[in-house]
Amino acid sequence: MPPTKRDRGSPIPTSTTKPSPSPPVKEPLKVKVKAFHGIARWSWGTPADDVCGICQSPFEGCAPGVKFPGDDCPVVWGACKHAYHLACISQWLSGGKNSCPICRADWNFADDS
Amino acid sequence: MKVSVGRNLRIWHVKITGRNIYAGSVFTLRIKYPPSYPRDPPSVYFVGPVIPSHEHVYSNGDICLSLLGAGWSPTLTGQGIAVSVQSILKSARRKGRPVDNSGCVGRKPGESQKDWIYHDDNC
Repeated sequence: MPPTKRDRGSPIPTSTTKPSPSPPVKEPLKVKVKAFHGIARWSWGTPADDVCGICQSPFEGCAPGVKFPGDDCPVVWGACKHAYHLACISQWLSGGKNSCPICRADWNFADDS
Repeated sequence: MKVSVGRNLRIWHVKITGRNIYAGSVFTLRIKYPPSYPRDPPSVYFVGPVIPSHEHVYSNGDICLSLLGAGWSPTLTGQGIAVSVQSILKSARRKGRPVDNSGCVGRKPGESQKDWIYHDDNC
């Protein structure tokens, strides 16, 4: 008598659920922090890699004639939303023109700058 | 366009290849940046041997271009000016000299255009 299909395989499983694994044991990480080196980054809030339209230097860098970036070389915005180094726009405005170098609108400092 | 700069980094010579009615000619534009650049515009004019015959270019090489005078902005660059000059040449329909050319030929080119009055809106 040829073997039937039933005879070839293993017995029909009665249940598909496996025994649940035991929960992982929480062991403390075996790492000891000996030192760390913190790094911070600052920007004026202008788009990354953007440059001042007057001096073509990065906003986070120095305008010509200014020694140090940061508080010594602040960035200011006009009411028209165009930004420049304070040193650069001051020099332009002192030349007798009261306009934004990019859009030529009358220059007014933005309220929050 | 091809820019050459010698020992003095403040002086550029820009070769402009003529197009359209100036096809076959090559012109040289001299751009000199003053120490007060970019508050003040650079001095820009054509140098020989060939000065383009254009209604906004004087025979002494001076260019009647508002960007170099009343329309100057410190965001403009030498490259931008050279492109503007290339553009006024390319868009010209006919050759000729400015109407007041004869009164200006004795003038030294490249002086401040602060008090210039510009002929039309294009230039």
